[in-house]
Amino acid sequence: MKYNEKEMKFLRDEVNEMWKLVISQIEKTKKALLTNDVELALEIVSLEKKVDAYELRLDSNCEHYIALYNPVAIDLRLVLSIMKISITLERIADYAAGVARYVLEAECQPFTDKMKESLRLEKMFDALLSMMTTSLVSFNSENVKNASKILAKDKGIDEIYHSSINLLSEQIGKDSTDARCGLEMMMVIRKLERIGDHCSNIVEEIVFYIEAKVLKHKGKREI
Amino acid sequence: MIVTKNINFYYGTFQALKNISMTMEANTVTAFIGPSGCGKSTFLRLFNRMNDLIDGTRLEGECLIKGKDIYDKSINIDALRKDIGMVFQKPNPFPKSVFENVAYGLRVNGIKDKKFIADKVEETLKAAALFDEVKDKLNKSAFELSGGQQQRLCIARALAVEPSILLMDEPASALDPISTSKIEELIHDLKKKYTIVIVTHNMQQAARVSDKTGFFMLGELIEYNDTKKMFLNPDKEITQNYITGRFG
Repeated sequence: MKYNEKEMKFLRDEVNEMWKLVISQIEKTKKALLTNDVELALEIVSLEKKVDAYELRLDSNCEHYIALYNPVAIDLRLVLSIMKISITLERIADYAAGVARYVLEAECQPFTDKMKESLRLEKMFDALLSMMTTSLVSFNSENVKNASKILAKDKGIDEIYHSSINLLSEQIGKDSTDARCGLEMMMVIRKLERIGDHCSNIVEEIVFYIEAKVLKHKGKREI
Repeated sequence: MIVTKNINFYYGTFQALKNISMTMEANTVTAFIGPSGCGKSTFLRLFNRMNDLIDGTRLEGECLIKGKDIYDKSINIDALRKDIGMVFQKPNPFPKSVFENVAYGLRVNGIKDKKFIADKVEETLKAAALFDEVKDKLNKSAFELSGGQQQRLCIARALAVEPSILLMDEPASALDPISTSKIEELIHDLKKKYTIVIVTHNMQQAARVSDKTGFFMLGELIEYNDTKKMFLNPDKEITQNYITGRFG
């Protein structure tokens, strides 16, 4: 393996590690929220710093790679994608920590089983985890054939989010004494919806890296 | 380790190097960059006293290699040049076979054991990442090899006498991109065993292969820094202007 390929492999390995750490953060967040597990929520918050450190390291390593090796074509697209993906992963981890803080700090009653079911929280988490893991496979196999399926999952998450707005506003309308808790729940769901958006951004970066197509800001994503 | 202290060098009355002090660590690659005539090749040639061959030159200051001043009267210049190999811009194989080019240095040094020479030639050609390409042409003329192969042969010839330092004066500037890439790969491998100093006009080559980079201009060492730092955030504005192509 050539020395610049070794450096590139190092960048790939590093973003893979970060990616897996963030997937595990989402898995933990799902469990912490659904079971109101305070200890796990604490662990998620403390691991956020580790994700931040990955972002800083990848930033610096990508800068050096560009400065020293002048990558072009697919190599350049890969380095640019890794930089953007690491920023996005860090934001996803921020949202996960935000949800964990809800578990730690909310003065409201935890989500009841009935609420969890009607808000379809588990389904939302499963869709997010599927987006994260499938996109990692796409990145590593340099194959975007699953890209449209991954992006379609974000539409499913958006649909759950919008129906949650209706559900929670209805509930607040019925019993305004608990409005604050309803709003806090809404913010948790909003965070999950934003994670879905960020997962879509990652897919866009993978498509840019592999096929040099720009999907950003296009109403209809054509792959 | 190579250490220079307050080096001034003159061609007649022209001062080519001005008060240069720097340290090059063992088993690293140091690159010298700078515009033509900045003194980088002159500085490189100090390390194996190649400048001694030019009339009317004068040196001030100290040049220490492994702690010894190589300009001390007690220094044996042949032994010095055996320890400090040099590769030039244009491949310059001898008009001999591939085998004899590499064996030459050994024979000149009085080695006669045929098996030892044959083993050493093979080992050195492997170290120069050339053996697989020439193993069936060892008795053919070196001139039958491609430019890139000839340059690696010259590197093998320099390595055969087991130097500790390798000086390279634009070793890839006459080569195509694939041959250049092979030479750069080789430099990366060789630094595990040798201390390498390379002069290059190609800034990206300096970035790709070196651990430290020295930027020369008008005979002065403007900046000497880690290559990563030099190409991302140099300390001097003049370095930045040069490496970004704003002048030069």
